[in-house]
Amino acid sequence: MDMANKEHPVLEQLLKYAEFYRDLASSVMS
Amino acid sequence: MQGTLDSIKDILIKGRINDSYALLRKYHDSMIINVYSNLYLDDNFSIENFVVEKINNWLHGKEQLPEYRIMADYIRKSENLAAINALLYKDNTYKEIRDRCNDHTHYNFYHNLLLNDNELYIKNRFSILNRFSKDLENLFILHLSYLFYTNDKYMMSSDYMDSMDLGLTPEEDPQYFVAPFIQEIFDKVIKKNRMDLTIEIKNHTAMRLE
Repeated sequence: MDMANKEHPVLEQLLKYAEFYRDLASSVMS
Repeated sequence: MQGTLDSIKDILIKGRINDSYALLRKYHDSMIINVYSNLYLDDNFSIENFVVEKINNWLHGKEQLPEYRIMADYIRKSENLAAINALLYKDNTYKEIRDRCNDHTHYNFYHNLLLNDNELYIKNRFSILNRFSKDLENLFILHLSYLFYTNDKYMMSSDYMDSMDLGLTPEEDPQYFVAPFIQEIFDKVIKKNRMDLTIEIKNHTAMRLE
């Protein structure tokens, strides 16, 4: 398998954005 | 949206760039629904119209929302969003992203299909991933800009509630304090990439964004 996908910083970016939405939902609901 | 981003990550790890673009299109759709429903509620809410029927019906499974094109058009034509829209759509960035998402979703070109083959060596795979990353960033900027512009209360920190919970007297005007995680994402994504949007959002809110 081409490993480029597993090494690309976009994975960290996706994680960061997902965390933001989680924090926002938690903040708005509280 | 958190779930869709999580799914994109799982699929990208497996090397399916083409499927990831289809999910990026879904992420774009969901933010348009989010912005449209907030805007429509603001535009139609009143004492006489306490429950906005269309949104309430959608929430209860009785009515569909309008199709994407109509919702996107409603947002683009909103007078309240005119200033931020002028900046967001000053060029073709978002049209090109939507076109790319559509090309991958509908297999408009053979090379779109090839990008789902994780066994295939594609020499420019890294640069295609770079473009995916930039498309994702631009869509995230679009959503944050609308969110902060239309619902600046979402930025509020918990200082006021925390003080009340602890029986302390809150500092002056705590309702304008911005939550640290909001300031951080604002700095790292919007301020870093789009100073024009940064200035417009800050000018439009009483919240103490730095």
